[in-house]
Amino acid sequence: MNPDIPLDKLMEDPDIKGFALVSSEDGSILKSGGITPGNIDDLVAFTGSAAEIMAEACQIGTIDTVKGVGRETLVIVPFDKSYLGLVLEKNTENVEEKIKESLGGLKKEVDSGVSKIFKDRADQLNMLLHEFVKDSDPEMWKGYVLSGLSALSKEGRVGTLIKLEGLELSVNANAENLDRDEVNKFMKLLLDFIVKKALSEFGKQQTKMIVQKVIREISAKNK
Amino acid sequence: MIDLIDLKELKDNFDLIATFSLSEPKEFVGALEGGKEVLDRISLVLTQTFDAIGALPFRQLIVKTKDKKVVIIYYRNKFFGLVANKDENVENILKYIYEK
Repeated sequence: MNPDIPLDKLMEDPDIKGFALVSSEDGSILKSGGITPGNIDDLVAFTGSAAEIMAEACQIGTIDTVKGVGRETLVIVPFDKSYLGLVLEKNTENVEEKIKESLGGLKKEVDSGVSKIFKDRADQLNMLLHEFVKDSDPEMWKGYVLSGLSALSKEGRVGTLIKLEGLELSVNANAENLDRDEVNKFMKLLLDFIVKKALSEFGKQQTKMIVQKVIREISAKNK
Repeated sequence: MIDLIDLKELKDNFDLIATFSLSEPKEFVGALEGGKEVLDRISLVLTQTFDAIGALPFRQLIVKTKDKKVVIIYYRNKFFGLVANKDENVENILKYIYEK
């Protein structure tokens, strides 16, 4: 989702207390407004990715909306590489449908070659893994990534096109047969799986520093 | 049976696709392709998520797709869930559960 989209307009709805547009790749807040909990980035990114795995596990298709009801009522709408999380004043049945409708005009980013996207995502994960392994046990990471690949590969074709050699992910050129959303979804779930392990190994602060370092490196490479 | 919630009764009363328990013993009733393996995956991802967030943020989680939904409910210190058609009214189901 393009952060330039006038999301502030959402605050004109009296049922919305606040919102945060969160990158589903690194969990960073791209844009926010109104009143949101301090951990809105984690809430939106982790809950969004968990919902995607649950929908995939139950074979019910791609998620449209996620609603969490607890101390806060939070609606999450996935859109391309981001999750839009909205904190609501109250929970009502099907409130997420109303929100989805109000977001209807938003447009997806311009597409590009799926094969390149697949390879780029694998390269980025390799850079991240390289950093995580520096201060940790490579064999543990290898086992963890393999278990992640295995868990995520139960359904869909993407998992059959990616393998781990040593601590390097490589992708198969047959990726041209896949669609972009399928590749993005799989690689994002794998990224989340890896980052969650890093959080438990290094803690939130250090993990964020490492992720941000890799993002800077990726940005520099793309210039 | 999870405490006072009978998975079969819940499924039959609301004509749900499946009902399941994520707390031990994990069990399900209805059409859940992959069966207990699916429950293990959902349980793992929820545990990871709540560990990462550092708290239990929701007592209900409703995941909707084009024509179906998965609902996860935290009730009496246990997690259970259901798979339903999208138009199924979750409030009615919750009311039924909480009033048992």
